[in-house]
Amino acid sequence: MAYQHILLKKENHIATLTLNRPESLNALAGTMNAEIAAAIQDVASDSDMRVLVLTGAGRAFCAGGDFKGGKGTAASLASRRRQPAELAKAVRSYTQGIALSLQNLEIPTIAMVNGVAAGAGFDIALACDMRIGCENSRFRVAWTLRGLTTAFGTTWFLPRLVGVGVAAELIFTARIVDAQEALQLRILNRQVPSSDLESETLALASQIAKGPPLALRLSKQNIYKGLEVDLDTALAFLASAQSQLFMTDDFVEATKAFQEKREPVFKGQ
Amino acid sequence: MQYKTILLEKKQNIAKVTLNRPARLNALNPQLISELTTAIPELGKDPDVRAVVITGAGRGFCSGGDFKGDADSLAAGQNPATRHPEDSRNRIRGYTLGVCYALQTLQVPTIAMVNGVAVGLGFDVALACDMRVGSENARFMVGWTRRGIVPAGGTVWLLPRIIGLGRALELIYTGRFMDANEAERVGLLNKKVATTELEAETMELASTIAHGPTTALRLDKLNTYKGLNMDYPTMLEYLAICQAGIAQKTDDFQEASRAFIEKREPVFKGR
Repeated sequence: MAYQHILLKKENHIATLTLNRPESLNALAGTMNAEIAAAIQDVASDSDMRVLVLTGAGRAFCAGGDFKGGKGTAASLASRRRQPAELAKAVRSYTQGIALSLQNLEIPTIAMVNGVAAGAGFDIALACDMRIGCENSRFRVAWTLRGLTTAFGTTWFLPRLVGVGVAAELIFTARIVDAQEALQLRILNRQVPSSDLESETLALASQIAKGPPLALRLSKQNIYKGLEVDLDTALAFLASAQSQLFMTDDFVEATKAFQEKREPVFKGQ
Repeated sequence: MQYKTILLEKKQNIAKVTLNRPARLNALNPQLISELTTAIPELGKDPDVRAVVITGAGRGFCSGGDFKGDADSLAAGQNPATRHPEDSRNRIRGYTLGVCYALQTLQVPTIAMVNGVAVGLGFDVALACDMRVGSENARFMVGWTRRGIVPAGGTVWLLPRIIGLGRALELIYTGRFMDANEAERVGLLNKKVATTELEAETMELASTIAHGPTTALRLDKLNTYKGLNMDYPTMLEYLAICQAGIAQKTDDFQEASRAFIEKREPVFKGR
């Protein structure tokens, strides 16, 4: 599929998905949503990919839904003539196609937050496992300013990151969180100078890409599932995952490398 | 209803509830519990109330259950030797459900303005609010532990979700005080301000929220707490229904869309 509003690069087991409507601060609109969904599907079914980096072209990460108007934009939803059921279906298709499929991606994901992440843009950054930012990173629950609720899941992600009290404040006030506060609140894992953002993110992605892919996929799954179940159930899942991993070439390789006092070379099988 | 142990003020879409037994550091006795049990649900029914502030009169926020033992206290008319466990259980449920649960599930954003000590049930009341703004005098303690009993008002459920398991368990196990500085550092206080600024800062936060799209904010509050017990796909289903069925049908959404196009600030009415 030829993409018009995004860029997808695959290199050294790392997939980089760049939102590419810089003139609109990478606001989500119409066909762009479908392209993002397709790109995520592509990465999901490519067993060679071990890490996904998500970022934005230009000075913004993603300013959210496009409210400027016109066909396929969020503003078209403002028409009261559409029935709630129809609207719900439209909202679900956006959210599930992007946020849910992003969060469900089995490989580790990193949001490289080069600038403002607002509204759906904040949701998408949160749907990634980790976030690296720079001094230009800014976050805002912009949905509130539009009289809306956080349809892509900030109400689910944010309390789990920053606690209920802070999440409630950020959602209710829609205030801007700058990079420094985001780091302190642990919304950002790391903050680096903007000139180093790409190289630092690549370094992290490369480090992860060198890891045991199957073990990392199962660990990721168990992190999120573990939030929902008690420890007993989590341990049962983990025992099953471990028994799979004991049978992998990568486990054998790791054991050999340890004995031979060298770095393991993981193949993902 | 004429309240004797609380002050209730409503101004500019903000309702302020002040626990008013300053001589007892606003300790909860049957009368205060009864008045809160009545007042809290009423706040949820008033569409003009778009933010709620809870605070304490005098130098304490709330020192917990009033166990002084006299006619004014929780112990009034009780003989522990003859009290049936089932009666005790129902008395406890009376204040934990009537005050803490009612406050936590109120469908309006709530802010605890922590002017002083918040201990035991008083700590639970502060935790039952969505956010906490405190002065340098704010102090928190799981008083129940020092009395050899369990925190019955919800600390065990709310505190880990606000400051994480490790710190929550430490406070519960040790019954130690946490001062305002530490509270701000760990996220128990959203903000710590000078005593002289506490009212102004809290009201400014309340005002920002009271000017917000109240319908969307009520849904956000509901979804945030429900979402803690829900997986992500289920949350997204809920959110799609809230968005399409309710939020996008509000006047405030229309106003926000117009304001965006006209490049001005939206004026939300809360409907």
